[in-house]
Amino acid sequence: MKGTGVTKAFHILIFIILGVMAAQAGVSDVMADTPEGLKALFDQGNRAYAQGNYDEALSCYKQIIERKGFSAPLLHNMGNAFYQKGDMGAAIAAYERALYLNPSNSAVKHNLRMARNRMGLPVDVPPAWEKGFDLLNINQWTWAAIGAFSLLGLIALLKGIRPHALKHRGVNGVSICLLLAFMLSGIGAWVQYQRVGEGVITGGDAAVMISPFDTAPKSKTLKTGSIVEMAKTYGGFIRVSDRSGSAGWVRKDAVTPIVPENLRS
Amino acid sequence: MNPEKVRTQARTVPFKRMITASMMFLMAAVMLVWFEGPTHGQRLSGDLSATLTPGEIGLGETAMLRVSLAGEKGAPPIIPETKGLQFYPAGQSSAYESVNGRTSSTKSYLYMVRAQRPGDYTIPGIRMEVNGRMLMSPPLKLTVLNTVGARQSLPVPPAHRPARQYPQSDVKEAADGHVAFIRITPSKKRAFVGEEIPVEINAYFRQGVGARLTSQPTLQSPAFSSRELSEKPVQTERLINGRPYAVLTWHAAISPVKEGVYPVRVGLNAVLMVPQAVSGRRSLLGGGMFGKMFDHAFDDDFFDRFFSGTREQPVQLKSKNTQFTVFPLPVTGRPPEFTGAVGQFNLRATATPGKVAVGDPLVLKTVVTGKGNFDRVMPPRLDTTEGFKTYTPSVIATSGNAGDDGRKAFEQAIIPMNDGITEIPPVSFSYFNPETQVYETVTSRPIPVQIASMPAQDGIARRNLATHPPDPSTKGSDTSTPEAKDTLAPVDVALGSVKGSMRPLVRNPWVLGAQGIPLGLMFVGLFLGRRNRKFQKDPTLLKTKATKQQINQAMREMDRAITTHDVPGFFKAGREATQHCLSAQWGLQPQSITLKDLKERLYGNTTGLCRLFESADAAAYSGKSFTQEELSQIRTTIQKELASLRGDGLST
Repeated sequence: MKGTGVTKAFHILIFIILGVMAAQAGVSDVMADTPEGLKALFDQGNRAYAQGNYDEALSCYKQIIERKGFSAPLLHNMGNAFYQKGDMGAAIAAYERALYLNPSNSAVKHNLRMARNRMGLPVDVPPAWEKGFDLLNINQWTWAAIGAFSLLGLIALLKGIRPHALKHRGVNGVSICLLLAFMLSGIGAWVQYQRVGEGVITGGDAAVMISPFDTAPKSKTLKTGSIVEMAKTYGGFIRVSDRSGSAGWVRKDAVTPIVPENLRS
Repeated sequence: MNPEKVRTQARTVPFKRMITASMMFLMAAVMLVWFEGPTHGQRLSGDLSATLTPGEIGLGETAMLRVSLAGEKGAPPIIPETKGLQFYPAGQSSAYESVNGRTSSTKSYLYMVRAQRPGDYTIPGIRMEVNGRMLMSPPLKLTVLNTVGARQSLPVPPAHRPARQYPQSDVKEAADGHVAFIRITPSKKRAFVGEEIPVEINAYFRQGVGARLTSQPTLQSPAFSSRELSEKPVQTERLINGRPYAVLTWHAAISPVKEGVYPVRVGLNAVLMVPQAVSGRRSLLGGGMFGKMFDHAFDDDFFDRFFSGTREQPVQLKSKNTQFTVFPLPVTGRPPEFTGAVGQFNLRATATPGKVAVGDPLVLKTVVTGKGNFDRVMPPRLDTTEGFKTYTPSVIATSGNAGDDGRKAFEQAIIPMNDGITEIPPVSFSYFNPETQVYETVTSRPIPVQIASMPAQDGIARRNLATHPPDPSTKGSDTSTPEAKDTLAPVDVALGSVKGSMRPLVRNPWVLGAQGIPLGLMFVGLFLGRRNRKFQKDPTLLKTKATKQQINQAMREMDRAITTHDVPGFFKAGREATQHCLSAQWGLQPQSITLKDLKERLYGNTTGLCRLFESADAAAYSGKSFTQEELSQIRTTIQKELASLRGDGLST
């Protein structure tokens, strides 16, 4: 009798332990997609980075991307981890993505310059007037333009329906300001939009072919970390052009687009 | 006897005689043709003729040589060598002739003739083998004047242009009796180690023998390497020992890798289509009279090939050994920076951008051009790297065919480490010139450059550079150092806002489409504003519009009253419509307009309005009734008259 009771208790204990483990797994799965869960994963990645475990740090960061998406700090930290591992191409790609989301981040700009210097790549120095448009990213400029345009539309409608209500001189001044804001936002969005079609050469120096075939003659080699403008694709190749204007075909897996089509890119 | 039968018999007899006579005539004609025709029994002896048109040409002009054989079938003619003259095959032609029942065929071979020098030339008799006999034409004379004549010379087709001028004297020996052979002709047979020697590889195939290549020419030598051959050979025709050959020519370059005396030969695999020998003319219908007649009709090369056939014969062509003497590169005078390039080269160097900050890389591009072995051309070096951090240069472009001028470009990243630098040092490139047999060094000019101090945001990097000056690295990218790790900006501790997609808003079709809303609002507002301004400028417009609305409303009320047969309501609405219309024109209040005003002020076509008022009074005070039809008529009249008063149409 006693033995039977012990066995029963043992079975119950095993069942409870397994149940708790399963529940925890389910809970952690659910929790990971919540802001708290993502923050925990992010912190875990940062701790691994501080300890020098860059692979583990990258694994945590990539999980956040797969579960939820991108953020500028996340991409910055990924860039640092790739940099410490010596993978400059991936580091430059991560920094460029971080700058796409937050163009005014000076820390990312500094680290990007460091990475490009390590690869012996020239650092782009944009003209002074373009630097002003790094305050916001493309979506922020777009919202600003939409807002200004919508307000302009509303004012125009109100003026048409109730002309006497908006006869105040200040209304014209506001309209002019909104128009200027719309134009500046449009320019800002256009400046930031230039990054959208760009990619970074990663995974080693890329051979540029004159035709999209493996047996085609090679015209030049693009260094890892080089920024290229992406155009059409054919088979496993993509047509790119570098800053000097020369164009050719490289293997698709040699280019990481700054704006990925999906989360896993 | 029956007279009818007699007459029939009389008619039948002449007919039979006619048939018999015709048959006999036909047989006689056939026999006449057969015995007198050119193909039966004995064959005519071949008539070989050669003509040269014109007989006198200017230097640089071309004459046409035609060699014709009539009535027979023979081998291609053997053109004798004539010093100073070049013969280019220009095709063949066949002609058939029938004269007085006799048919004959003539085959002609055409050649273009050109002279290298003015003078009088005699082309010896041209020989041709015909049915085992050798026929020869009379000699021909050609006069080449020392002037460029006005007569336009026939252009030599590109395929017939003679090849590059290499020593060809032993080609004839190699060709002696061979259907196919290969030859390598170098531009020189003495060279230095690493020197590029242009060569020409010619594969000869006798005309009439088809050939299919099964490999590219391959170099066979223990001490030479070769660059890639031109992909497709150039095909030409040449006469060797008077026989036409198809010639395939490749241009290549070989380079000795060690000193000594070595043979070089080239090999080529091909399959020859050798025509089967046809002994005599086999008659398809036997050797009888009709068989031979039939054979004559098909007496042509085309049918020979059709009926005779070919056999495939794989062959491995090998050229004779050509001995090369290779000399070592001299040690005396060899510059320390010499890396093995042999030839004649030039150097050009550029750097971009022209202005950078300390620590930012410059791209140094060097281009080596010239003639020589570019496989041995290594990146040129900076004369001094003091103040710079340099990276391994890489090849970015190579171009040029074997034996021709070439180009090789290199790119190298260099980083200025202090802002006192004003120029990039010269770049040097050393090579051995086989022509002068000395080492030569070409040096570029210094490249001016502006180096600015580091930007403020890179204060961290500046501190580190000052305390930990880096070592110039020449092997690949810089290796990670503890100092490099510390200069990175630290990681972010806040995750920030996570976005599911990085796609820009402007690429979202919903966002773009939604901009139609404020755009629409803007257009509506602008339209309304314009309308308001229009009314403000002319207040009567507003009033006219209000009047029109009131009249339309009254007309609708009249329609309703007709439908419900509401006579008082009909006349009330009609009166209102009239009053509103006339008040706008007369400037009176609508309610003040009476029948008296109508009678005083209205003329002509507006009597219906007066009758409306009268009928209204009659309906109100005397109780007169009106049918719906009468009310409709009144309404129609009112509408017309009001419209004529306003000068526009009223809405109904």
